Amino acid sequence: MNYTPLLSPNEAARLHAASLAVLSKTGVKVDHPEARDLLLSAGAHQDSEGRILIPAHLVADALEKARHSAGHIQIYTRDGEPAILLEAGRTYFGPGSDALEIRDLHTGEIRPAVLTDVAANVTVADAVGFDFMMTMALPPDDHVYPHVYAQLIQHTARPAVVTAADFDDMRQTYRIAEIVAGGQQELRAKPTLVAYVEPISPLHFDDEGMAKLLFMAENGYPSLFAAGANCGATAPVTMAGAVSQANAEFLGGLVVATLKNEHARMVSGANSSSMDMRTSGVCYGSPEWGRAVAIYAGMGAFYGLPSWGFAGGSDAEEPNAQAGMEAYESILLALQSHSTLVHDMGYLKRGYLYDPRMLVLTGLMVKRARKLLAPLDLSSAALAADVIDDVARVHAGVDNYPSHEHTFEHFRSALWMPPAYWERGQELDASLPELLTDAVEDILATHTPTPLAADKIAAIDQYLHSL
Amino acid sequence: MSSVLERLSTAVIAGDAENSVKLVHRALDKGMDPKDILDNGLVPGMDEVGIRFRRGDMFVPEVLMSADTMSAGLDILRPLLAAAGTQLIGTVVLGTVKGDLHDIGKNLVGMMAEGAGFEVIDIGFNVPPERFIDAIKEHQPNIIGMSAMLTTTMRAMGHTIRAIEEAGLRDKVKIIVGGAPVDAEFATRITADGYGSNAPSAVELCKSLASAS
Repeated sequence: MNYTPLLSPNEAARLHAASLAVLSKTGVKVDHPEARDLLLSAGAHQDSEGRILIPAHLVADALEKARHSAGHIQIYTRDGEPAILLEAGRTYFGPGSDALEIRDLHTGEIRPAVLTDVAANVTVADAVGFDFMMTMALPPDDHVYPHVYAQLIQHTARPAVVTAADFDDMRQTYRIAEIVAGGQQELRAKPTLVAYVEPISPLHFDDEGMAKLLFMAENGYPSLFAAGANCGATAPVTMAGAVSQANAEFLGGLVVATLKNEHARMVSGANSSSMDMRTSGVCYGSPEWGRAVAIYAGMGAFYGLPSWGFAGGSDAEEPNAQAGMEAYESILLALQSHSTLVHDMGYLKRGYLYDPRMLVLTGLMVKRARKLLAPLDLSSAALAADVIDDVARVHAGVDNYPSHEHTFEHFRSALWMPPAYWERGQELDASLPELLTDAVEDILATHTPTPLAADKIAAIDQYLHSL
Repeated sequence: MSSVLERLSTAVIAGDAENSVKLVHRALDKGMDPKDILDNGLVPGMDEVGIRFRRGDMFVPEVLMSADTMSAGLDILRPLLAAAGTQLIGTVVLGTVKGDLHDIGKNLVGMMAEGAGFEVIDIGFNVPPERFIDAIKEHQPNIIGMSAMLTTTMRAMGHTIRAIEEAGLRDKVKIIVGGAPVDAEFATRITADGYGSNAPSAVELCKSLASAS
């Protein structure tokens, strides 16, 4: 198993023990009657304040079940092809969700998100080549989530991770996924999406969250139970404290889900960053954010489960030097630590803003990071002893590497090949942000995502009208 | 040795609650007027905290500790001030709106408003409009503060303001809003009287609204 340099197996074991202590001594607040009954009838206890104390043996049982059913979760494209295999050791990147603001590239202004922004951003993220999708923009309307997902699924065939305000929105979103898959059985057999379900930190399993989690467990739909446990805000300010709490929250959710259905499939991990101690906002670019993704990846490896990750965001408001530093730092850590399902590519302004140029930029960062951290190829073709011999001895009249056939054959795979607008000593006729604007406009003018069949689009429209 | 009141200000800035309680008792023992202790000991300390915070020299956890320290001193003075007929700077009713179970941000505002000398009535989270209305009738606050953490619940703030209008109470209170998805533009749109981007700025807002009312 691959571990991150930031978390050894011994350290993971200590965090696990700390989470078990939180669950058995402090326990969780559970409002949902069915979730309470499941926990209490399985051997959890209720203390005098009504908190549910979860003993370690229930967590051990849950992890044992999860390793069988969630160690490897295959997620499919909208068209039923295997797309991403969620397991410890593999890494997939995608954007984030629910940004309230969009940088309008026509006016240069930041404005509230509208539904067509979802289509445009998904088109850009699809062209950039992210492995999975999230909706990015969130228009400020009631019960907008199924409408937002309907936009997403019409503009990419790639798998999705979905959020929803409440259970009804989540159920309706899944109804659309079921329509596209051809039915509930079909979606269960070949899931195309992962549900982003969350507790309220610290240690509160509210009704909506439990309703979503139990629905996913019952149907065998893959889900997260990823807390927002932020250092100094909703969790202890210290990283070990924040992770032990958030990991306890995940483990508590895993217990509930596997009691509902022993074949429940869950991705481990949570979201942690720091609260800025001047503005009290949560940071999406702090070193704590990067460290946390590596640590949750380490916990996933320890459990033999895929892990939830976050990277490629920034607290800056535009794709500037700060955004470059912060986004690339977290992408490197996510990839190096083998975090499995890494979201938030391109987030700006602490998760409030999407600027499509940042999608293009973080897409480049992912390709670059994969190149930077690729295992060293020691094949004979890569060692190239014959090529060295050829050039040194001037075989076949070739006395230099640039004109050797080996270079011609391998340079595209051997080297990181940046786009033409990446500054490397050539004359550029504009600044990087301007060139990124061009790149976005080019994508929107030329990229056509695999279209969804007309009858499916009609069925989705009919369903949305019925709501 | 500096005066008791100067030391009291210093204790507030340092977030030293234990010492501030001792110093308030010491000042009372020396026969000082409770209003004098408040105005020239506790309040200047908290004012300096505000200045340092805005300058970036103090941080949220330190400001909260100072607010707590101020409250500890004020707890001793409050009955004495009331007996002398001295008014606190105002009353604030705080709640997280209907549908929203998040209360950390609202609690921070409450702690800091108390530290600034307000009477704070916290009516909890998931609060429907009618409970805000009941609280206005019962406590006659200067200010209502509403919080929402979610884009899906922030609209309940507008609904609540509408309900307060319909109950004929809108001119009795100033209404301020805050929370992660909220901004000044949204506050204006729903006809709130103000928006605080974080707990210290919300309390500054309370102070200016209370002094204007």
